[in-house]
Amino acid sequence: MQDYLSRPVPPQVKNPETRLLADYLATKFPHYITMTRVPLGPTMIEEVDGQRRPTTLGAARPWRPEVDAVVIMEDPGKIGFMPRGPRGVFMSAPATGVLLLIEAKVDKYVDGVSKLPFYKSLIPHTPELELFRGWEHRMRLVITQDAPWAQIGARIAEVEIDIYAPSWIAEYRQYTQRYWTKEWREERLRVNQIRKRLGL
Amino acid sequence: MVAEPSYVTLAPGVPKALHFTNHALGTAMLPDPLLGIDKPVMRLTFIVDEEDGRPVAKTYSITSSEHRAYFERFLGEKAYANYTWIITRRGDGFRTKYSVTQIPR
Repeated sequence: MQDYLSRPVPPQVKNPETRLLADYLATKFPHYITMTRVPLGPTMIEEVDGQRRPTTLGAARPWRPEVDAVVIMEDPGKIGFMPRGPRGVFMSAPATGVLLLIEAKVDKYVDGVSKLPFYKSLIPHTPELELFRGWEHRMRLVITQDAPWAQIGARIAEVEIDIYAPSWIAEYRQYTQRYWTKEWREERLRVNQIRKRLGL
Repeated sequence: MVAEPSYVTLAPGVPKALHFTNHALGTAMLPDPLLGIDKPVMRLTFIVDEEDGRPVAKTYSITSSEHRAYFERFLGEKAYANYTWIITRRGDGFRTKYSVTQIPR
């Protein structure tokens, strides 16, 4: 066990939700436009020279909540985009379609179920998604193992649940489940004491 | 006329559309501003042949582990070449975050 503990954190254990999201989007939606970390809601109002003005999209970004991903369920050829439009990326889109909001959770499923309806309520107020206001907005929570309690809450919140567990999830679970065991805590303490003695 | 740099830079909050044709994954020694030492950092570098719709010959380097984690899924068989990537950076230092929009080509 000591050999294993002395090694660095396995790469698959780092940033698990980012990996899960990338894996899920690439597998399920390879032919659609997908966006990650999408800021939602109106921009802030700030006072400049005594006048109240909305902040620019870029400046308002850190203050707005973000959904993990948005999938535009439409042929990408029908969506006009350019990277520096006044309202963000998208320039034209059909009047109707389906916009899918996705949260990917490795552990905190309750967070995912509760956040999605809130995010959905912000779409009509999001300048970057102005073109998609008339579309149907669906919500999906991606989780890595079945949880009956999450299914109950999701049904009430009208959130779809998709169970998706890529092969590396097993390695992640093994690592995180061992992390707080007595043996691993003692081993970390031992390594830290050695580091301190060596002045590292 | 000012020469354009050979690498892609992202201004905070400004989306940039990129297309990648090849990549390299390796370790680079980068200065740590807090500790004042050079330390090894994993770096993913893409070859960029298109920036905001213009043909270019540049590189785009990623040292953020979270940003890199997103692209690792696409490194096999160079699947990233099948997409136009619109990347937006925001924040600075350890709190830098990236939004990624992928558009099938």
